[in-house]
Amino acid sequence: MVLLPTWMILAIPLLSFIINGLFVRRFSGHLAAKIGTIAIGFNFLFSLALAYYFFQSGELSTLEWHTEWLRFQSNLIIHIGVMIDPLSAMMLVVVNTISFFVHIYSLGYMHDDEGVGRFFSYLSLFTFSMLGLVVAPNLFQMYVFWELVGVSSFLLIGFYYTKPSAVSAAKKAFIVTRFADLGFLIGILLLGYLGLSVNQGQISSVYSPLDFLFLNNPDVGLQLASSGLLTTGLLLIFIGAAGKSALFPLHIWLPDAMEGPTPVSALIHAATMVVAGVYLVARLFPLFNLAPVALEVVSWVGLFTSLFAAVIACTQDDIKRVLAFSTLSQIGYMIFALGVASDLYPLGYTASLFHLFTHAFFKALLFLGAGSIIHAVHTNDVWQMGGLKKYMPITHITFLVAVLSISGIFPFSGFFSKDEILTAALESGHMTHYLVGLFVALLTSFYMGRIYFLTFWGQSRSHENASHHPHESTWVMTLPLVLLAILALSSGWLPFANYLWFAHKHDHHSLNMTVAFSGTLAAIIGLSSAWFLYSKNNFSKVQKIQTGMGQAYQIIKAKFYFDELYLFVTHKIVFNKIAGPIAWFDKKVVDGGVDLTGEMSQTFGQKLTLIQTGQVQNYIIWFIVGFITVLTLYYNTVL
Amino acid sequence: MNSHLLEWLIMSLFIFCVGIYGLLTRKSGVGLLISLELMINAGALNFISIHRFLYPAQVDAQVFVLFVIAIAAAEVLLALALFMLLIKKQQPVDITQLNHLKH
Amino acid sequence: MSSLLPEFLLILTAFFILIIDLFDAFNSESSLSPEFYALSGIGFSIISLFALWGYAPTTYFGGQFVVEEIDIFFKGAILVAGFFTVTLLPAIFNLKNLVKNHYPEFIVTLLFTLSGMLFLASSRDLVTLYVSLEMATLPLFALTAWEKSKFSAEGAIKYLILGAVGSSFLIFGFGILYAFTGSLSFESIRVALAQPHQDTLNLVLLAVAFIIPGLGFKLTLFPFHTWAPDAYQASPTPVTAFLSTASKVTGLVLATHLLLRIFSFQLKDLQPVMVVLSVATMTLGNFVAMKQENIKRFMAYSSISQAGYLLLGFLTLSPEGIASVLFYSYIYIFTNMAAFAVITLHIEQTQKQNILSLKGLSKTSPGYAAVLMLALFSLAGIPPLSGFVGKFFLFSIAAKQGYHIVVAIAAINSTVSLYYYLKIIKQMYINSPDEDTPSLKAPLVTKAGLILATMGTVFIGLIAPFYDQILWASEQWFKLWIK
Repeated sequence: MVLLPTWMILAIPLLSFIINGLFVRRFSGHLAAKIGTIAIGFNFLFSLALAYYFFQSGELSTLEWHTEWLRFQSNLIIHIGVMIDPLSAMMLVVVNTISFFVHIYSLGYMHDDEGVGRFFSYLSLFTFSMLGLVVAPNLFQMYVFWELVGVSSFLLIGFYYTKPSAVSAAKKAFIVTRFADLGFLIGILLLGYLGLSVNQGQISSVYSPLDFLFLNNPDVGLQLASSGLLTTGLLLIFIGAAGKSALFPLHIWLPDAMEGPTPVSALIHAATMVVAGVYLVARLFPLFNLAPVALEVVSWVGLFTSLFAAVIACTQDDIKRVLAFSTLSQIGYMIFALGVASDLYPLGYTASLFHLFTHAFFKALLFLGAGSIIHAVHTNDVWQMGGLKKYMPITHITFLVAVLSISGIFPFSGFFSKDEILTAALESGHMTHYLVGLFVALLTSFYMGRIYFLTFWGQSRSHENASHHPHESTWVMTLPLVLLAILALSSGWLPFANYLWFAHKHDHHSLNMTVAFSGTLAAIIGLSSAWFLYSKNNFSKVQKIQTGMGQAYQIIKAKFYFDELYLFVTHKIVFNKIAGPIAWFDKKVVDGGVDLTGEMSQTFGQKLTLIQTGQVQNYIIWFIVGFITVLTLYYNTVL
Repeated sequence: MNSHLLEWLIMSLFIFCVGIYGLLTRKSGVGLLISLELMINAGALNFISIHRFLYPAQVDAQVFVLFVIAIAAAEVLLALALFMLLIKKQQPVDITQLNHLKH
Repeated sequence: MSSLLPEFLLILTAFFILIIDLFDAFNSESSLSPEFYALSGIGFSIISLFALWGYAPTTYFGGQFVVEEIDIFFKGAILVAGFFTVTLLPAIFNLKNLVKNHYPEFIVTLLFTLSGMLFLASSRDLVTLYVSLEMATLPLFALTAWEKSKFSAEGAIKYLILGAVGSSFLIFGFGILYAFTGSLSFESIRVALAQPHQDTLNLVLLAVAFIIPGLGFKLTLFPFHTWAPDAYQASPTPVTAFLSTASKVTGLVLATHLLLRIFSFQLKDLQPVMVVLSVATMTLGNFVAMKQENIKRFMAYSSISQAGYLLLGFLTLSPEGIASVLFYSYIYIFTNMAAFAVITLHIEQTQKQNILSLKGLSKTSPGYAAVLMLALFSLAGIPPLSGFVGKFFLFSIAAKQGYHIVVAIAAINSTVSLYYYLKIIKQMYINSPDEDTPSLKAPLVTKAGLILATMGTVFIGLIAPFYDQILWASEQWFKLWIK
């Protein structure tokens, strides 16, 4: 208990959503905005205090509050509650901080939008859902909030609901993640089933099979592993994680999700929701550790995603799309970092979460900065930007900070976290992971540099009126940028390993010089290539490279035609062959059956009305018939 | 049971059935009333015959029958008042014509 | 003496109004409308009734008039129904047409009916039962025909004829019952029926077979219900309201007397009969109500189906059964009266009895439409309205006693009923009103009654102590017996 009951951290955004969503937004959108921001501001301070007190107390984990919700059997009870442990405390801070900064930013960005009240209600809903997910003490509650997060994301991506592209992007996001959640659900059921047959001998029987405190218990884990189905269950759960975190091949929704307003992209698709998958794997890491096959799969999927996305990011022209692919790539890093960890080499665990932490800040900064830019030049296309460093100094500097951070330049935060990941890969013997990771770092700095130079340097290529210069955004929008930049600079210095570790605590070791050196070298190569190609006004070299790569370039730019492939499969196969017959069945048989019951009831009723003929003598006949019936029935019973 | 009693009971049952027959076949309202009276009085006859043959000492049955007669009269009075209402509206008191409220 | 106070007060009020009318005092400008006298009369009656609470059971007239705790609840329900009916009257009558409408006589007749019903609840022997039953029913025949139109006469005549038929069946059956002991009191007959002689079994059979139709008439069970749609449609709307509530409770009282106080040992064998009657009644009521266009006829069939549900409480001899029936009756009275208040106002002001004429009521009179909607939802059994709680108790107690199939059928019927209630709500809320339909206006008294009824509809189900009191009362009653 930190001054206030812990569940308040969930209650406040929920209340904000209800009050704003149901009442305030109808008559004043701006009031709703302020209410939402204040609520999340309070949450922000509260989460900091919570984290502080928690880490001070030195406890490993506490179940701060819980109450029984569903009781399936005596040994299968689902609680809802709030669990604080290092992982959730960190996530609380991350989610609340980014949410708060996004709220402040949106006060400016969404100020002139008609649906500003609706926007802020949805933001509160999302914050509530994400927080609920993060503090969930068991898989069930986590799943419930997982779905809620999906809903909030749907609402926010499709915020401009009059735009068909936004609507279809929202649909795509929801459907893909929903599809992945099927795997998640089956995995939960499997784990729950396995958990039921675990001998609870030495373990307190207070816990139910889906509780994290139960699942992560080493004895329980060993018993689960011996059942032989643990790997399957964990892989199924990983499918769910892959959907939410947009890992290959479920990545297709994230680039399209950029249809939403930029603050949404910053909050959801950079810092919080998409890392839910990372959080999930980290949460169940003790179990993953006992299933090496699952961990291997995790690491390869992560690695491939990170490479795949980085390659595509080099070719995209929409600034938000580049950032989206960048997010995919960075999440790939986080995932494969988890994948290379084990109880012998647990650094990957810490590294992944550390990268989650730092990435949240600089990615949000990048998105908010992009929003600031888009707000100023009214276009997303980098080829129509240029020379903005003259007009938007604050945005420029903060953006630069973020770019340097993501590239992994000392002393920015990305350097520390990315290096730790590469170190983890190297030290645990995953050479391929290390080398590919290094290459991706190069690509990352390249495409980020490309964006940076094309946007801020050179001449303005804007198609707007020459006299109408873009100007810096208002302080409401630049303040979060500055704050995030500070965080992007400083968060790397946090002794993260003291707080989040697995198996055994590290002493904060010194930097692995190999990794540091090669990482920095990769970053410098990338950045300088970008400078070379994009910072001037002459793009002929770029043209030559593009035509030189020819067909390959086109394929990469089209994101390897994965969207088209999925569309083909869904339309031709799923719709026609599967959904069609089922729809026919539903309409003719099921609906027909229901309609038939209705028809029959109506006919029956019509027939019955004929009893009342209006003639008294008929009524008397019925009377007598009744008498005879009673007589007969009673006679039969009595005999 | 006393055989005389049985005869009386059968007769009251017979009168009841005559009443039902009349109820179902009469067209005029007064005919209905007559049939109803038959049925009610068949029941009263039950009481009196049982009282006479089985429990002569108690007067409960007589009290009941008196009340029955009085109330039957009241019912008939009401019925006639309603028939008067119909007549005032130029409707014949023909039960088979009273079929506007139906289904 | 004081236990007779409720009935006495009602009769006193009736005569008081009659005397005032004798002197034509209602015609003058400064006089109070008759309904105020009636309302105060009924109000005092209710107070004196519940003042009896600590003194029950009391006996008068050598055991022929008994007030037990359970009777207090039955009488209370009837008085509440009467109270609400009187609040509806100012919407129909106004003092200007006093001579034409015979408003004071109407109230007097109503009060007499009420007192008859109260006497019925306290009766403990066949004479009192029969006399008070007739005293409760006969004035209703007159009330049905009050409008003096062709239709009302027809409806009243049908009611009367079938009522007389029912009475005659009852009398015949009572006659057979008399053969067993020569005494007319319930207790002695019940004891005599406990161990019937082998050769008297046929007599018992006949007695039951004659008496059940009489009961079925009052409680509108199928196939003895045929008077109800016509009578309900023909009577003035407050009388319809009264019939559907107070008359139903009277039927329940009659059922208590007949089934539980007299035939308590035959109840086990009567179960198939009761089950068949109950199921047939609720099914008929529900399915025919779907096809009705006239509001009052529709409410008639709705209340017929409610009678079917109510009969479930009489299937076994247990205190919970009666308690649930009584609890449901109270809820039913409040709900029905709320619905009828709106219906009365509507019919009176638009002179149209068609359900379609209700269209767009939510736009022209939103408050009244909301009240009607709440009442209909409560009748359908939608939580958290009281109707749901009442039905829940009724069904769960019947299910606990083992009648699973019947309860399932009842639940299905309840679902079906939602359809026709929603049809009305749809008319009110989704269809748009005709041009220049005026909004409903209600006299103050009616409005007060409406508000009270609506509050009852919403809140009574939530008052747990209420049900507990009823349960306690019925348990007290059962304790006096040896089962």
